[in-house]
Amino acid sequence: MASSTGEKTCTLELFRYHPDQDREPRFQSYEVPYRTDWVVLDALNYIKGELDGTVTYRWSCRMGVCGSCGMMVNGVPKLSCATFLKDYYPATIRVEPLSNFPVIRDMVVNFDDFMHKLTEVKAWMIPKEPRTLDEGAYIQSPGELAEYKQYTMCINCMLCYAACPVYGHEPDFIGPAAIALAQRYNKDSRDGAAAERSDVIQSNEGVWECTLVGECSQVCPKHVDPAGAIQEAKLQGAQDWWKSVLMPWGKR
Amino acid sequence: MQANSEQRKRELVRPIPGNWWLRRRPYTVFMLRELSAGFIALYAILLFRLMHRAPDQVNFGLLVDELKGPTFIFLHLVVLGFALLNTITTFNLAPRVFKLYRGEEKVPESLIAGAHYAAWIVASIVLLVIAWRA
Repeated sequence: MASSTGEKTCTLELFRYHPDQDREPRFQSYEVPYRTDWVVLDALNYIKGELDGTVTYRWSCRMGVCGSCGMMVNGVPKLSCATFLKDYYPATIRVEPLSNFPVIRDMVVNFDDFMHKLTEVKAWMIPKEPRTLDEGAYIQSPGELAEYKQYTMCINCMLCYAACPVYGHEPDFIGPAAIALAQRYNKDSRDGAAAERSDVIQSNEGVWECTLVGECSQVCPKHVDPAGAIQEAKLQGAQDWWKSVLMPWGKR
Repeated sequence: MQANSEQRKRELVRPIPGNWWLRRRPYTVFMLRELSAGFIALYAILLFRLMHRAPDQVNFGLLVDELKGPTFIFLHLVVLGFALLNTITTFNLAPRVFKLYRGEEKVPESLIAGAHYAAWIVASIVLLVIAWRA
């Protein structure tokens, strides 16, 4: 496509919803200059700066670290800062807010539910025993680090929730990222709260809701593999259950 | 930031359309994988019927003749297709389930999936040999 000046252009179709004006969402098309080094976020910034200042979306770092700019790009959850126009050109690019979350305005969604789930699974370090400074640093081998390192890469971008049809249908499902982050601490040799977390993770709303669609891992921009974390937690839950049946006198 | 109740009322909750699983190929494959369980269960019932009738040679022969008809051959092909889909999609997901380490190095995902396929081929050959000799 080309503009009147002969410059190559690209069409973006943006999801628009303004709660004070719109009863229903609508799509609005914008023509932006086509540049091979532009990502969808660059195009959105161009639209906001040059064409329509009312377009609303979240973004921050522009380098795939902050996890703010997750959106549906042609129906697939993507970080808009890491999604190049050239991969879609000359087709129209449709940009929508992340699926499975309530929309506040345009591409901005409400992620309170995810934040609440992070606290439910206690996604933070709860040490096995208090340790004073005099006792020195916690010692951890490279093997122990490898057990959980992958899960530390999660940037809370929520693309995995947008890709998960189980979460879409069952919003009570704890969901991929929160479970992966719980596993991040469960697998950490310094942590001692796996049993506390298991009450939530092994509940009906926890890992057993997952039907292993696997798309959460496919769309994860940081290769955290939340589907793997969930299966790992299922395996652990099954082992713990058998232990409790075969050795009821044992420690949980 | 926690949204207040007034903001919540103004938020747009998008319903999930009934054809959500047709909108992207991975979801369609997932739904077909789920559906395959039904066909495999049906086939298990058929096998149980065969086993149940096995002691009675006359009844067993009648059922075997019935299975040679075009309807059952078609059913077999459909079930085979779903069984293959179920097996392949499950094996491809196996590396999600089994995380193995050789010392401190993670075993490559391709090796885990490959081991499943190898075991499948070996098991199939063993079954074919047993069936051939019977």
